[in-house]
Amino acid sequence: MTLHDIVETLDALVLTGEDQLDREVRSAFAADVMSDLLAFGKAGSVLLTRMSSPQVIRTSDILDIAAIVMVRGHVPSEHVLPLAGELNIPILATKYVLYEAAGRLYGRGLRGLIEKVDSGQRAG
Amino acid sequence: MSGGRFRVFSSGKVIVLLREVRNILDAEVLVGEEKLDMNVKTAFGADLMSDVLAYAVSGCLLLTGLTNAQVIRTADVLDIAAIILVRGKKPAPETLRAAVEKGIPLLSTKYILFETAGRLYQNGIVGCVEKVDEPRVSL
Repeated sequence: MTLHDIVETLDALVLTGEDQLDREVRSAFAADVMSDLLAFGKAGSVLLTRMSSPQVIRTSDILDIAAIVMVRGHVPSEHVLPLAGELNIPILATKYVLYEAAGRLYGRGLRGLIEKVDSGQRAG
Repeated sequence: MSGGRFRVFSSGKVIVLLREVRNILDAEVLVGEEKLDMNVKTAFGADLMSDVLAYAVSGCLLLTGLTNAQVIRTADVLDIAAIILVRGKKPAPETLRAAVEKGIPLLSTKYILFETAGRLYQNGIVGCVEKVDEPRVSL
């Protein structure tokens, strides 16, 4: 699935990264707190979130997250977008709530970056 | 949609039993074994209490990584049907006690939130809200 497919599926606005919509994405995950992003984020995955602090953008850059999807109509503050642009991280904004966005992307074939958390694994 | 576990009624609504939710998610029932015949139509997922308070509605299934007793009290106030703890999260002892006391079914699944939502959605459970035009909370 490409970022373009995600834009289409979620009727999303492209806030940054218009030039990267052909990028292939492998998997997705949802995180609303930084500890989950740090514990689970993997290169090439799509982050579904309603977090939008500069730390989220910087952490996503370090983890090489493919794109950030802001759910339920959340739009980041103006000073976050230039940072995402500078770090080349696509940000998409959808009005769908997290559950609907995840369900629709799953229906189009996108899968979780891990399926299950093993009991031994850190569950952030 | 795939799965075939859901039934579509003449109203167009899909009803899934909590028992089926347990099977779909390979979940452990921590509280509410006697309530598995409960009907579930909608769900909501969030890891922030403020989002739960702002958007979850009566009768929905709450998917969350929140494990403190506050989530039970919130679910009770909002009349949430049942709580699914995702990512293999286990509740604190006081959370279990509160769930028993309030009679709110509490299940735990090892699937991450994205997978949990995807699998339930595939089985016909839709969001309790679909889209949000204007965020009601701005954090």
